[in-house]
Amino acid sequence: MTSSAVETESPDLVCELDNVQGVVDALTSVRWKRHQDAVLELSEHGIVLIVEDTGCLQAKVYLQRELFVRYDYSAHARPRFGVSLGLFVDCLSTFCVPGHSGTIEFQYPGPDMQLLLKYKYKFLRATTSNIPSSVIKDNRGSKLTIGRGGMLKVQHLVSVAKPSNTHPHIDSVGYQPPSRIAYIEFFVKPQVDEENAYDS
Amino acid sequence: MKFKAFLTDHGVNLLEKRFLPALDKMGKTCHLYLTRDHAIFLHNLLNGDGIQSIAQFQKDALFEDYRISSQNDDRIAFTIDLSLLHRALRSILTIYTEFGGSHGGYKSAVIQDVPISKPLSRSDVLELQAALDMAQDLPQTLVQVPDMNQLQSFVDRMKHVGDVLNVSITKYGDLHLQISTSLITLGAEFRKLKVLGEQARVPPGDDNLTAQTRTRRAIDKGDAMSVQVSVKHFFKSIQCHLAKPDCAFYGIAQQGSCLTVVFQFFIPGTRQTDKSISLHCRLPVLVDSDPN
Repeated sequence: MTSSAVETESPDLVCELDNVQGVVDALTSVRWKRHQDAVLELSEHGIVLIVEDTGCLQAKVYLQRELFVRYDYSAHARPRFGVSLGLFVDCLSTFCVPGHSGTIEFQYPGPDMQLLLKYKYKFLRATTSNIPSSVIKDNRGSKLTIGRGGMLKVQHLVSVAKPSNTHPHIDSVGYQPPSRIAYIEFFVKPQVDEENAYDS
Repeated sequence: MKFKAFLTDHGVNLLEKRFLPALDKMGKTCHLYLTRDHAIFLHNLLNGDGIQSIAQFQKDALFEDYRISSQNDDRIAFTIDLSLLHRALRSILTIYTEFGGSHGGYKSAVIQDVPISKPLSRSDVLELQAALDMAQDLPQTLVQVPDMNQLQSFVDRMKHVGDVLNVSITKYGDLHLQISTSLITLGAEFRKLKVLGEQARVPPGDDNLTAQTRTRRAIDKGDAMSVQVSVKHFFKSIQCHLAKPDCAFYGIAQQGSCLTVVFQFFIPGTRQTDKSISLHCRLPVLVDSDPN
């Protein structure tokens, strides 16, 4: 390991994931424009990724700890940090090599306060800032609710299960145990006249 | 200045199915350089910063009844549009399959004209030959890429992340690829690859280190070289496997002057190198990189 003072303390989070594609799908769903920053919040329950736009639209991706094959959380307060959603997704998708399912490890913070990802002999790190866009694909179900004050809430479920063709005898309804689904929520605020969200 | 030869069936197939699709990825036009013994397709040897590719065929690998004469030591070179040549060959194959099976049928002649440039002047041919001679230097250490398809799919995804690729090659048989920008570092390392040329023993205790640290140490010891190339060029070099080579090797030329990829072709049914065909590419090194 490199010689760095940070390494002597245990990181806030070390977790391992065995299906990168699922997370790529989940995160791609909330990537609606090219340059888009996101906030990651780590907690004992899992990872939440939050994307916001001009004070009117917010989307959250919940990656519960059950999605991970290993989830060692040891921070006291819930760490929050910014990442470039696009770079994060592009980076993760680099490791979705067809026919090579492997485990990827996330660590925060890395030696230089980055989010550190490792993948067998491959490794990578990600830090903050910009991105490209794409739409929702392969979501398992969506729900639309309009709350008080006209707040629109859109929920999607994206499967983060390992492609399980190994058990063809299991029910064919497409049921996914809750531990294998990433929850995504969009919150859309109606535009109010007093809010000058689109003024420059 | 005269050139006349018959492309053999094998030659047509070799070009149409394998080499032209690969060479087309390097650039739409190239030089075709004909000598007494060889036909050579050359990309970017005389001009610019593009990826250089050199596909050399002994005349018998493509032609029969090969006749060439020129006042310039029987050498002729010109520029050719690869997609037009490809189209002409494809149409010949179509005609073959439609009429070729029936012996004793009608004989027919179909003429395909493929436009070419004016032949290169004597001085340009000399310059081309000099550039070709220069491009034949092989790196001291070459590592074999285990799976070109896997590497292609990997670099295809990686190229979204940045434009500049750092390539390090060690004498232990490690190939380390890394994209670094102010926002991200993304890397992949392939270890224990077959090494051609100069090798060195892996230092003990290296396994617990990160790929970056190991690579840096190897460079410090003089056991590795590192260069920066364009991700796009690197991706193009991988696309050469459309020519269906039997193996591929990456190496860094002396003083880090370029990244070289060498493709090997076996004589069908054997593990022996077919010396009548050779293909290699040279990727220009980006100015900023450290030659150590």
